[in-house]
Amino acid sequence: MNFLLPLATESVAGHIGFLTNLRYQTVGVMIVMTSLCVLAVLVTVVAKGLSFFPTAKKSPAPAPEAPVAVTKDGISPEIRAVIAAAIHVSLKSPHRILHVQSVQNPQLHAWSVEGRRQIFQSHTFR
Amino acid sequence: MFKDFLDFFTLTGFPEITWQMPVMWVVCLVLFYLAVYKGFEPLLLVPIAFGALLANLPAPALTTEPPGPVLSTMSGSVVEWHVAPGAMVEEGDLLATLQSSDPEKPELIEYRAPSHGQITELAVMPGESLQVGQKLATIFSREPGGLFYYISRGIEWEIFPPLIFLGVGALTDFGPLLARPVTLLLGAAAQLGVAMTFLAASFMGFSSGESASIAIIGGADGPTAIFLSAKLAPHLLPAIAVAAYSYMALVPMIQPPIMRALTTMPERLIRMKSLRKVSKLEKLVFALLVTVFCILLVPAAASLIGMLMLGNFFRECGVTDRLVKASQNEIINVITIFLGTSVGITMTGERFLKPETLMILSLGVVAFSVSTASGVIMAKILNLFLPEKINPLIGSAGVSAVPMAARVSQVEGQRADPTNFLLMHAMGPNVAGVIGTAVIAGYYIATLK
Repeated sequence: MNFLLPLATESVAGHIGFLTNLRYQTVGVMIVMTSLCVLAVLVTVVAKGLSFFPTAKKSPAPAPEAPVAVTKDGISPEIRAVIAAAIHVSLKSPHRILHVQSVQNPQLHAWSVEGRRQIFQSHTFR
Repeated sequence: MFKDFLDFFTLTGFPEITWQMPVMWVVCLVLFYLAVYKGFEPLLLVPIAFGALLANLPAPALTTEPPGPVLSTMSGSVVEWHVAPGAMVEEGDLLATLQSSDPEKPELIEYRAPSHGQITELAVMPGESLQVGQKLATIFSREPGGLFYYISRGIEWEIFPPLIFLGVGALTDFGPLLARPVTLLLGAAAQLGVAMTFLAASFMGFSSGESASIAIIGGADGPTAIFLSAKLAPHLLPAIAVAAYSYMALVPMIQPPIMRALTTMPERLIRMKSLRKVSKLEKLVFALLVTVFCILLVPAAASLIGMLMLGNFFRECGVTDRLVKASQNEIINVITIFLGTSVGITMTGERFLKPETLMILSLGVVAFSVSTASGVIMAKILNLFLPEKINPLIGSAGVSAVPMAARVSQVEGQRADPTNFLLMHAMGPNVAGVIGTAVIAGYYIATLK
């Protein structure tokens, strides 16, 4: 790259000709373009090559869902546990859950449920 | 008592204030304002501005060189010594008069003490010749150098920019680039702005090393700009760093008018196909491929590319979680503080308040604008050949201001079609720009150093 010699030996006072600089820059841009082109080709080839070797492991078959025990009234033990935990968080004072019952037809009994909730709210729990 | 007060006053920094200092305080205030209230690259501009404030206070102890051997920075001969062994010197005191051996500049040069202390040895006698790096004298003192003398070694010894690149690599997802490798060409095209700015800077009278350092601003990559100018034009480092980071913050203002001027509405409306999923193995192979290929091509940029890809390998391999987190957070944050303040400490009034600084700032805008335009035009050229058209708005993201430039593509795309999402497509050229800028920086270092 003889044309680089004036650049490498340039002194502070020296001024490089425009054409030399233009050639220098053209070579620089060509190097960048060519190298990134080569990279693009290499990346494409690698991607094609890797596509022939599926590396993804077969995902294990999903574990069968644990059977959910459902009691006669339709409330599973998990739901009972969640309800008990919620009550425990809400009621700070000592308490005992006597009975958990699902609302048979929420649409029908919505007003009575709300009424019961308000009545219970007015009580002081022992 | 009044005399005691006056005596104490002479020991304070007030008498040392020069006219450049208040001017630089105003510059610092502007930088603080831009960073704090306008959000312009605050992570960098705040440390830079604070470092600049420290540099423009009369506190030479911050940057004093540690005492020790005084090495010549030029070739020539010693004409006369102005000190004798045993003499006490302060930093900046005249040590010797040297004659340069440069046939074009055979001038006499006054050589000043780089640190304070006692002269214990004069190694070259008057009339004797000396080479660059040869020991001239020895200064002894029990006091160490200034805090920023040691911190600034990180720039001088090229430690900080590669470490920043480690963090950048750990933060960068090359997936979009791998999903559409053709976008590498957009990152390459954006380097045309660097080349054009080199020509303009050279035409304006800058030397080749200075022109390369100024031109690299167009790459919109702060660490690379600092890395290159520390090697080729260290005296221009403050202006170049400030220009690079300020313009990176101004990307949302500089790019959109150029993008709109160079594209038609139908082009801006182009929808690109969703990117395919890139496997972990592909990303790992890419990191190794870029490391080997780019370092073979431009060994001068090995530290930048090597650390970038090391950080990326950490990220993609999936077994170095702690190292990824350290690179993405602690390392990059600590180094950012040191890098910013080290750059700022070089911004003394004497170095910064020059017509050259204004020229560098204007050339920086040219660099950014041409880089943006080149990326967009390259996307349009590619569309002539590609079966699947790409939206030319992502071409502007070839300047590597990650992820700001990609975000600008997204915003401009949505301005034309609010349901078009270009962000991930623009990340391809965006990260390609990082590689492209490192390659052209390596080319300049290899040919000009």
